[in-house]
Amino acid sequence: MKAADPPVPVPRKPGQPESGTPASPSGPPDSGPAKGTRKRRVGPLLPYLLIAPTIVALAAVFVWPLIKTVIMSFQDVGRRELWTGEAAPWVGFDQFTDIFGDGEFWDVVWRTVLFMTVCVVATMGLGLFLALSMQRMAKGVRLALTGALVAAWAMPLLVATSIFRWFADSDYGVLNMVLTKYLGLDFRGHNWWLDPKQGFLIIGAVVVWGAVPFVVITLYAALTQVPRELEEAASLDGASATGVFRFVTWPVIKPVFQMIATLSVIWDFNVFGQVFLIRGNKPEPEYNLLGTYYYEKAFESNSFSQGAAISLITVLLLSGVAVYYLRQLLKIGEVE
Amino acid sequence: MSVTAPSRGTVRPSGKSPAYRPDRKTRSRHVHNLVGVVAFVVMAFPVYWLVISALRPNNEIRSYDQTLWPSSFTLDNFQRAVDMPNFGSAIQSSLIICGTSVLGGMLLSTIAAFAIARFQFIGRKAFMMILLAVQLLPPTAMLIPIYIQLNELGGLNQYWGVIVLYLVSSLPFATWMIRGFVVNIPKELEESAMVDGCSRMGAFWRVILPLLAPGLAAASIFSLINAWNEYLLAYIVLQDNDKYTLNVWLMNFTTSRGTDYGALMAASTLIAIPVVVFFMFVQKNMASGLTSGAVKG
Amino acid sequence: MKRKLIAAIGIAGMMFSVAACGGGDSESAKDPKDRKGDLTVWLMTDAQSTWPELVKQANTEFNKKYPGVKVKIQYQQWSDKTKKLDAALAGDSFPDVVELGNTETMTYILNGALGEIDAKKYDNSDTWISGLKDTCSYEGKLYCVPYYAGARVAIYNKPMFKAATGSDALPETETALTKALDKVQKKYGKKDKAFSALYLPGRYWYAAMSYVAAYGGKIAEYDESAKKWKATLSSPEAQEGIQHFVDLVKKYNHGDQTKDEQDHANVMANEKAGLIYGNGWEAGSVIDPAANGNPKLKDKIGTGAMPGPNGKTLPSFIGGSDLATISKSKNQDLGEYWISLFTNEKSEAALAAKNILPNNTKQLEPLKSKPETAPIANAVPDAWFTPIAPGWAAVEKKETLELMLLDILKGKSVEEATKAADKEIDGLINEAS
Repeated sequence: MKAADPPVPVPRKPGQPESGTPASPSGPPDSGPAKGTRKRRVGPLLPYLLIAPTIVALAAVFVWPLIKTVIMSFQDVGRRELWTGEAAPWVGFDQFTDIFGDGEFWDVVWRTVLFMTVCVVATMGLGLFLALSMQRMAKGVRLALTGALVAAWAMPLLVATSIFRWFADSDYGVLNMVLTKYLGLDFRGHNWWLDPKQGFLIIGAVVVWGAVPFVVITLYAALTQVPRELEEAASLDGASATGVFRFVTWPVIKPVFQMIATLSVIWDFNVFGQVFLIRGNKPEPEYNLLGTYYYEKAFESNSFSQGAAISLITVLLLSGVAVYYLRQLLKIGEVE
Repeated sequence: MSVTAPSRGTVRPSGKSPAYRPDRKTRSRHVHNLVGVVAFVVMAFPVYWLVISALRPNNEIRSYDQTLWPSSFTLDNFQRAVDMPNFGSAIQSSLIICGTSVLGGMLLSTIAAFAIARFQFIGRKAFMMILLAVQLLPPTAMLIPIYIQLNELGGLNQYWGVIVLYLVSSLPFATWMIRGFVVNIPKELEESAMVDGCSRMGAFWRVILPLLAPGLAAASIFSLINAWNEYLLAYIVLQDNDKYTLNVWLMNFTTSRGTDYGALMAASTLIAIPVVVFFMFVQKNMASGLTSGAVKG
Repeated sequence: MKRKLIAAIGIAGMMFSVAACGGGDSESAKDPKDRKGDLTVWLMTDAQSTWPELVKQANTEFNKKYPGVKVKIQYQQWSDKTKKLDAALAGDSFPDVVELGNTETMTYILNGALGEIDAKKYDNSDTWISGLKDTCSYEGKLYCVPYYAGARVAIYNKPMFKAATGSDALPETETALTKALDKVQKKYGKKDKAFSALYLPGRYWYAAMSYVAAYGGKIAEYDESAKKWKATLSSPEAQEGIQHFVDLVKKYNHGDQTKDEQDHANVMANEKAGLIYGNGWEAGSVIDPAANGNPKLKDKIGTGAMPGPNGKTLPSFIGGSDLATISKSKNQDLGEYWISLFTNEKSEAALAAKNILPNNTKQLEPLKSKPETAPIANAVPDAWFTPIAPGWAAVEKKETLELMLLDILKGKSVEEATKAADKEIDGLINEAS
C-alpha cells in the first residue's frame, strides 16, 4: 500500500500473533480498537438479512445438487435413467464398495496425492523464493516480472495447455529442439508422454506455471509489510540470513502462506483441464488423476452414480485439508 | 512491531538505504536481478509464444524447424479470428455475464463480509464453514446435478443462469477476502460518521466502502478471471449461438477437420487484452488487498 | 373409501397426463399452416463453415410448408458436444434434431434418446450407404438418417514421387508402392532424418484395422448361439493384419511412431512425408492456410486408392454423420420433415459438389468417375465399420485398440497384445453404454 492510500488509523499489522499465542518478536497487542467492542449485538435480524442473499444464492445452486449427488451415489443411474426419468434402482453401498475394491482407484488416489504434493511444494517454494527475491530486485526487473506474471495469469487454460503441448511435441516441439540443438543431447523425436514420469513433469509445469503468479504476487505483498527495521536490527545483531527469515520474516507472512497453500492443495487436487487437454481429450489410464477418473466413470462409462460416489470420496479426502483450513480460519475468527 | 511503527508506505523495498553492508548488498542485488530475469523469461515465454504464433503464417506454427522469431509477420490470423461468426455477440455476452456476475458478487460478498466481521450472531461460524466447504466440491463432478437444478429454475439458455453460477463460484473467496478488510477498519470511524447524522447505510457507503476499495479490487479480479476464462458451464447452459461467451466462441476454431491454430491464438490474444488491462489497472490495489484480507482470515 | 377415491383421481389424472403427452398426435394432425413454435436443430460447426447455404435452403423449404415454425439452428462443437447433449437430455431444454457422428449413435439409441424414423420419408433411403445405415439400426428399427460419409485414401506429394520414381502416379499394388516408398525414402530421407516416405502413426487404429480387414479379420463377431459379441483380434487373420501394419510403421515412419493421426496434415504440409493414409478431405487441409496448411503445395498433392495386401485396395473405415430426432421431442414429425429436406437428393448433390460423399450409393456413382473424388467414392463399397455392438462406444473410449498398438510398438508381441485386447473388449462390448 502506498502512503497515499486512504488513511487507516493505526493499521493493524498483518501477522500479528493472535492474542493468547506466545508472542514472536513483536510488541504487545496493538492499540487498535479494543477487541470485544468490535462485535455488538444489534437488531438481531440485521446480520441475517445481510448474509441472506449469499445463503440464498449458494443454496439455490448447491443444496439440491449436493443432495442429488448423495442420493445418486446410492443408486445406479446411467444415461437411460437420467434421460427418461425412469426410477433408478437402489444399490446401497455398492458403488462405494466397487470403487474401493478397484485397484485402479487406489492407484489414481496415490497418483493424485503425489502429484498434488509435488505441485503444491513446487508452487509454494518457487513462489516464496521469487517473492523474496523480488524485494531485492532493481525496480525495472521487478516491474517486468510482475507484467509477465500478470499476463501468464490471464491466459485461458485451453490456450496455455495447447502451447505447452506444442513445446513438448516429439516432432516439432521447441523443448526437444532446444535440448538437441543447444545442449547437445539427442532428444530428436523424443516422446515425453510414453513415460508418465516425464509426462507428469510437463503437466506439472503447466500447473505450476499457471499457479505461481497468484502465489508470488500475494506473498510479495505480504513481504512488503515486514518491517525493514526489524530485519536490519536482527542482522546487525549477527543473525544469519536464515535466522532473519525464520524469526522476523516468516512469522509475518505465515498466515498468508498457509492460506495460499491450503487453496493450492484444493485446486491441485481437483486438476482436470490440464491433464485432459494436454492428452488430446483422451488421457491414457496412467495419466488419470481423480478429476479425469471421475469424468471417465461418469460420462464415458455411463455410470453417473459411480461418478457421484467418486466426487463424494474426493470431498471426504479433501476435508482433511479443509479441517485444517477451517481451524485456521475459525481460530482467527474467534479473536476478532 | 510497534517499534517506530513506520507507515507501510515507507517500508517498501526501495533499496534506498545502501548505507550499511554496501558490498554484500550490491552483489546480492545482482544475483536477485539475475533471478528476476530468469523468472521473467520462464513466465513470459508461453505468453510470447501465444502472441508470436498469432502473428506468424499459419503453417509455421507447427513447423518442424521451430524458430524463436517468425520469418514473416501477418495479420491474416487476426482477420480470420475477427471474421468468425458471432464475434460481436460473444463480446457482448462476455461483457454482460462477467460484468454482472462480478458486480453482483462484489455486492453480495461485501454485505455478507460486513455481517460476519461486525456482528456476533448465532450461525456465524456455520456460515463461514459453508463458505469454505463449498470450495471443496469438484467442479466437473457437479456438472449434471447443477444443470438439472438450473433447468428447474428456468435458467437454461439465459444469461442469468450463467451469471448466477459464476457469481456463486466466486462468492466464498470474495466474502472471505473482503471480510479481512472490514475487520481492519476501526468501527470508531463508522460510529463517528453515524454521530454526524449518517444512517448505518450512509456510514457504510461514505466511510467504509472507500476503505474497502483495495479488497474489492482484489476480489473482483479473481471473479473476473474465473468468469472470463470459464468455458464448460457456459457452453452447456447457453444454447443459442449468439449467446455464447468469448471462451465458448473460441472453440469454433476447432472443427472435425482440425484446429485453425493461427486464428485460435489470434483470438485468444484479443480476448486476453481486456483482462490484462483490468489487471494492470487494479494490480497495485490487489497486492495489498490480498494480504490484508488473508492475514485477517 | 376415501383412499380409493384418491387413487381413482390419481389414475384419472395419470391418464389425463398420458393423453397430454400423446398430444404430439393432435399437434401433428393440425394444419401445417397453424403449427407454431420452434424447431431446434443441433448441427456440427462443419455445416456452418463449409456448407451454410445448404442449411439455409433446407430452412426456406421447411418454412414453405410450416410458415409458423421457427427453425433454430444451434451449431455445436466437437470437443464437448456429447457432454452438452447428455446434460440437455436430462432437462427440458433439449434439441428436436441432432447430428451425431456415426460412432456415437449407438449410445443414444440404446438409452432410448432417439425417436424412431420412417425410412420411406427420405430420398434414396433404399440405397443408403450401409456403413451409415447400420449405425442407425437397432433390432430391426431405424433411429437416424445418414447425412454424409467419409472414407480414407492415400494422399501423396506428387513432385516427390516424380523425382524419386520418375512417375507422379500412385502405384497400384502394394509391392510397387513399397518399392516406390523405398526410393522416396532414399532420396529425401538422406538429408532429413525426420522424413517419412509413408507417415503412418503407430496409434492410428483405423489404419491398423483396415489391414486386419484386408486379411479377412474382424475386431469382433456376433455369436448367434450365445447371443453375445466376442472379440476376434487374436485370430490368425487379424494378427497378420496388425503385424503388417506395425511393420509398415516401423519401416517408414521416421517421426515419432507413437502418435495418433492428428498430425497427418501438418506432416504433409511441412513436407516431412511422401504419403499419408488419411481422410479424403485432408488433401485439402494440407494446402489450406486456414487449416495450418501450406499454400505452396497447391496442385502438388494427389490422392489415390491406397494399395493393400494381396494385390487389393486397402479397405477403408467408413466414417460419417447421421441426423436424428429426439424421442422426448413434441416436434418429431417436424424434425423428420426438416431432416428429409436437409438430406434430400438436391442437398446431397450439393454436398457431393463439395467433394463430400453423399449418403447414398446412387449419387455416389457419378463421383466414381470424377478424378478428385474417385478414390474416396471407390473406397465405399469395400469399406468396413466398427462392430455395431451395445458396448462398442466404451471400447473406443477406453482406447483399447490404440493402447494395444502402443504396447506392440513398445515391444510386446502381437499375439500377447491381441489376446489382452480381446479380453478387455469382451468385458466391455456386451454391456450397453
